[in-house]
Amino acid sequence: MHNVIRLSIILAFITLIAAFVLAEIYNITKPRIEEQKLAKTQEALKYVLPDAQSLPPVKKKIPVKDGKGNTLYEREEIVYYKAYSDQQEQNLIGYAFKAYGTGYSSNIETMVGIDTIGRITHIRIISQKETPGLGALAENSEPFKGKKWSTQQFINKQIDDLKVDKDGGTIVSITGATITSRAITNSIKAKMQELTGELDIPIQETVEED
Amino acid sequence: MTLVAEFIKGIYKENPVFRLALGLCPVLAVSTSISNAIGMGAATTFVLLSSNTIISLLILFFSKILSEEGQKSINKIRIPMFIVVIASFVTIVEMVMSAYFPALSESLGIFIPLIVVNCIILGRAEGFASKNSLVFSVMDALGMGIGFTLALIAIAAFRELLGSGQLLGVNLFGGDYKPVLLMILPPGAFLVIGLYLGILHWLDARKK
Repeated sequence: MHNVIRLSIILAFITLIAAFVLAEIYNITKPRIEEQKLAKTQEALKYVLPDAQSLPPVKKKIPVKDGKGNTLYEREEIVYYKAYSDQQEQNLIGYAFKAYGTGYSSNIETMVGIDTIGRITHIRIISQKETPGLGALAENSEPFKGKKWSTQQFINKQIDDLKVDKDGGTIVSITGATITSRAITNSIKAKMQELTGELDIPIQETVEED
Repeated sequence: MTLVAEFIKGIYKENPVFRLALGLCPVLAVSTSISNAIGMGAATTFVLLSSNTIISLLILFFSKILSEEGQKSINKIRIPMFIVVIASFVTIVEMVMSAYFPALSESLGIFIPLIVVNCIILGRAEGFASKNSLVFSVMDALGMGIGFTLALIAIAAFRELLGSGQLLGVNLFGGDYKPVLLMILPPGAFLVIGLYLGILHWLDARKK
């Protein structure tokens, strides 16, 4: 019995020190980690909408409910960003939003910029963990020449153009990684459809395909 | 054994990857590019060095303050003790890496937290640091860590060169090279490790 208590105290003491050290380092690194995340979003925004001078986020309050349907608290979430070409936020040039898709082995997060009539200005893959050499090539943004995947092929595409070649569309998919290509394309399409109502984008007549 | 010998053994004679065949899981997973290999090697070496140091000090400390019988009973909780020490250092590495090297931390992903269960580290803690003095434990950790890093780089260089036609991210063959995708997929890792093991055994056999 005496032994058990002694061993417990020793172990508790060691874990206590470890917890203290970890808490300190967490405090030091946390602001820096958040800064990095923010910087990444900002960089992606600048990339998809290079002409924007001011990008205020549009937030939506999402109520978090408990089991009985009572609202516990409201969580703020950025739905999309408005892009203005001047600091005074007078001249609206487009919107930016994040699209999330489930790829082959990871969740793919894409930043998408669109102009005021719903054409994509550019896209940028923010995070993915797809197969190296296959799905991971999705980030490639080399000039689009027509037969290889590049994020540049999304430029000027509209909702109805967003379909990969395997599904009869025009987006050239990554060789050997159709699932990844499809996940990115479809996630952007879904998010655009979701946002069309909220943004002041003229809804185009959908041409029925035969 | 001298200090230098303790250091050298981890690099060739008792190389953790090629000789002891320890920690193969992260080796298979992150050896797709040299930059990943260096990042993983550095993280593992840091954890190995820190945990070997602390564990060696802990054992020394207990041997000073506890009786013979007390030291025997301490033996019963040595594994949880080691795990706490190792897990703490791994968490430190993870936090520091995502704060200061976000790109690296993203490409290594889950394999950083998984250093906790890397058998090289627990193996050295249990098999070496808990039985040897501080200086020897530090030398052992350095040797093993550097040996692990070098092994990773050797495998990654091969895989990156053939699998993506690059070395350290620099394109070597120009645009026309069609990479051997197999090399950066999991089977490529097995092939390359097998190849290296074969070469080392062949060299040993020739020496005899």
